[in-house]
Amino acid sequence: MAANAAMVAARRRSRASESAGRRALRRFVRHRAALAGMLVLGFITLAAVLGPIIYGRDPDVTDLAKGYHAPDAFFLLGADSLGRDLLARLLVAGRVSLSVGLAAAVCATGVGLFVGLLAGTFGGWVDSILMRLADIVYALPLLLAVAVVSGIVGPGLFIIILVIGLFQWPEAARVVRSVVLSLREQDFVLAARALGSTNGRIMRKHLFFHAVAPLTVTGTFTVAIALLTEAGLSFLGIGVQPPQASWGNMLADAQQVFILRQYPWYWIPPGLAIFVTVLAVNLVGDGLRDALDPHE
Amino acid sequence: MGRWLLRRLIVTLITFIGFTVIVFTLMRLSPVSPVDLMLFNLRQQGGLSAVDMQRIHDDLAKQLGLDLPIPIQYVIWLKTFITSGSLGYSFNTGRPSIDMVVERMPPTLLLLGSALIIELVIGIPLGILAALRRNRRLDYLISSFGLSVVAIPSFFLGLSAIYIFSVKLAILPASGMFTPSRKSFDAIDWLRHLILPAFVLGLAGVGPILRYVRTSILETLGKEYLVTARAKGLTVTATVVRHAFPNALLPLITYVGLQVGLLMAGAFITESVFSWPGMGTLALNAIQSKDYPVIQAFAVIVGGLVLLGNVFADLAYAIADPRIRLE
Repeated sequence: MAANAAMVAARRRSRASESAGRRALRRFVRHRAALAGMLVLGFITLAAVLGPIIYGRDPDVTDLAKGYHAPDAFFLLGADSLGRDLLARLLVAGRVSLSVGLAAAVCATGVGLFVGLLAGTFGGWVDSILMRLADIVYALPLLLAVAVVSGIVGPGLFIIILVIGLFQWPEAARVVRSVVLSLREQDFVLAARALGSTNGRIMRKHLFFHAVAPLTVTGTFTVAIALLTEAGLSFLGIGVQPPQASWGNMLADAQQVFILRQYPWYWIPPGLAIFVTVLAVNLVGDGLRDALDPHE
Repeated sequence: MGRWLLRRLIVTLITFIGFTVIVFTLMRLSPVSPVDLMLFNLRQQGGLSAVDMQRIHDDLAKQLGLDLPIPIQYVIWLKTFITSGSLGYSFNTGRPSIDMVVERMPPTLLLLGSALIIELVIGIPLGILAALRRNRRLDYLISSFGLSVVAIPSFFLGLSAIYIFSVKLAILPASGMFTPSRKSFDAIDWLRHLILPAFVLGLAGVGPILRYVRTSILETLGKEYLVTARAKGLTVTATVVRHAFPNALLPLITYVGLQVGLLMAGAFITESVFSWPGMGTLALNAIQSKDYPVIQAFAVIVGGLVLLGNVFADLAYAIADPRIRLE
């Protein structure tokens, strides 16, 4: 009987230690992924910011005689149909794509923060109306919304950023609202109210900072969504307009079969650039979520 | 159930009306006035003097109530849409824009349906497998796969698929819905055209679905009724198959309903890559050629479809889960 109990205890110990080890491994791997994502993102950002200066070649200079030039010692990634240097364009396009992603995410998160704070703090019919609106906007496919709006108003960098900001806020708003609701009846908020703070002051001084951590997570994922949206629209020719390069519109030429068939080096690098960047952003987002999740 | 359904439908209707307000406002932001929209074809034909054109223009503006306040204009617009189903006439073809969008619906719905099936058939088993092998190598492998398909831009995946399967291996057609030279309907030919776009569209959705299934199964595994099932002597497999799956997969219904919008957006790009003759290619054409009436019809119909998708999801959920109905 005693031996039996000892065996059970030993088994339980070993299982517990194993699962703890596994958990550590999991966290390690996860955080390693986030770390890797961070490094890759840092590298891509550096390449986009400093790359064009270091490489020093004009991305817009055309040389029709060099059209479809294969990669060699001079054209490291080859040249496009107009003989423009593809590496120079890839680097400059990175600037455009990253800025659109970041700016759009900041816009969307800002709108979400504002709406969420309003809905959570005021409650009542303000809350009902704003959250119903959030439901409507959430149901609309972002890419189509941006496509339709830029189809009506006309394409452009600024329009894309603005429209993503206007259509991608519901998730951030819900996050902020739930944070506010969970804090609204807490002692420090009630105390502030008892001391005569207005709703505006409570939002600014007490609630805002609690919403920052979860907002960072949503904001990060929004960067990825914005990047993909811009790329898709630019690929279809209704986003960033040539001659300005973006990773998305660099692939647009590959819709012509002969380019797709004969010059894979023409369209693979920008596609990979989008893929790697979005993957890295998502990994960082996952890492942030795990790190900031109080339940873990 | 009846009252619940009725309330749900009313809310959806209000939402749809809210959506049409957005579309209407957007159209008013366009650089072309509604009168010019309607007179476009007349102007194209020519033969009328500038003075006559101006008179027609002013009469029409009055008839349309453009001198009235914007909210009243909206009511008139909505009334025309409801009573005559008209959202204007295409600049390019002169046909009712709504007819043009509706007749392109079947290919798009076919693509969406196939993509959804692919999503579920690949995503659910992978999610279950990842949950059962939690934190083992297989789980990491599956999760990485899920992360990757989400990050690949669908047009890049589409171009790569064409490059590999149509150009290099030459086993599948790269574009269209049928081989043009064939005279009669050929199901095999049609399926071969469907495979690449459906997979490209479906794969993007596999990531979220497998992640969703994995999380919800892991959550369910901790529930007390599963401990009870284990305690009464069921094997792990039997517990999981009989008790965990049905409960874990239930919320997936809602998720699928929300997928309709994402799939629509994906189809917009995928159709263009594969020259699939659906609503997406029509809309892209309209956007590129500034065919405002068609853009408007497309927006209204997509909004309607997305909302319908949500209603169906709610309905299916209510049928599957009695707790919702009784609330």
